[in-house]
Amino acid sequence: MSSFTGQIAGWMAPDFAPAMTVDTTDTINSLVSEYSAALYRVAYSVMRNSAEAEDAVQEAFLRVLKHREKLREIRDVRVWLVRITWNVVLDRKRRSKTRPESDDIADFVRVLPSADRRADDEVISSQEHARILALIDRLPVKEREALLLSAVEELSTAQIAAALKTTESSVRSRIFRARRELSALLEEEGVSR
Amino acid sequence: MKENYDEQIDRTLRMLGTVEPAAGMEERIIARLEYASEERKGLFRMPQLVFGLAAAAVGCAVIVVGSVNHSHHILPVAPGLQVPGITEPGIGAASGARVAPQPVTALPQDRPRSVREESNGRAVISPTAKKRAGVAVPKTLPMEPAGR
Repeated sequence: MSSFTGQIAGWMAPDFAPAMTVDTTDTINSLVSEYSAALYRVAYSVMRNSAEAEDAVQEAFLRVLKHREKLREIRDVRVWLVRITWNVVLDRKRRSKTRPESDDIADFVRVLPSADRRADDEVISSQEHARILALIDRLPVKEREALLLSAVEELSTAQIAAALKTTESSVRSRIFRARRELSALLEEEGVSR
Repeated sequence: MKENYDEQIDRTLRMLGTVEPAAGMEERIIARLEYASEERKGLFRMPQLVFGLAAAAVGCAVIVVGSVNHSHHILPVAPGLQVPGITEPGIGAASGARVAPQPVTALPQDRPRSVREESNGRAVISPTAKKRAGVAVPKTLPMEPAGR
């Protein structure tokens, strides 16, 4: 069937479309079930606000819905989703640059998993988390991105590298440099206090 | 002290890596996706509707313009007997034959050409001059000498 007759057939029989839509919707729904929590952590690492992080994940899945025809071509869905979420989050962060930072210290306490919260996590206060996160934000972009993504447990170094479009060794060195600089900043801040 | 910083960094990163979304996030995402999907379906159908309406409008315009053009177009009528459908097979009625109006053939100058004779100042119509059908021209009388 030529493309023209195919198009005509599509116009004449639009009822064939829903079957494919249902199939794609099921696939996307299964992606939501499997990856939404990990993507939420990715988003939260940048947004630092639970509502905004959830909103970013929703927007990421809306982009997936928009480009659902690409789903079959994707080799590593997790990396693809992380990259989409990462882009969404960076876009939002860029847009919100004009308004004051909305890091909600109380939000840190709210999002901490209370059931398996460790004793040492109890000791460090949410204010200290906020302080370190503020220092992370002062790191160079590449180091900061690698460090934040390394915090997401579900992501391997290879996946972080794929998401950031770089090599694994580069990711490792960025994380190393980030931690070193962060320690230096903490020390500097500790001395100045 | 360095150990202490590393521990602090690890704790914060662990906190980031283990945050839990609010309950029901998956359902909210799926609901939003379904809503967006419905919206997209509506938008997808809209161009088809617009296309259909545009095609119908163009079709109507073509019919109207063609009809108007056809009614303004004057076909040349050949002189003589016009028998419509004469080449069609079957038996035709005698009443079907129609005589087309006889065209009036235009004359080169639209009037008989006269020949002016300078001798006596009177115009003389040549017997061979073309005249309108039904126009009678008197015979030219023999000329008298101009000196009389």
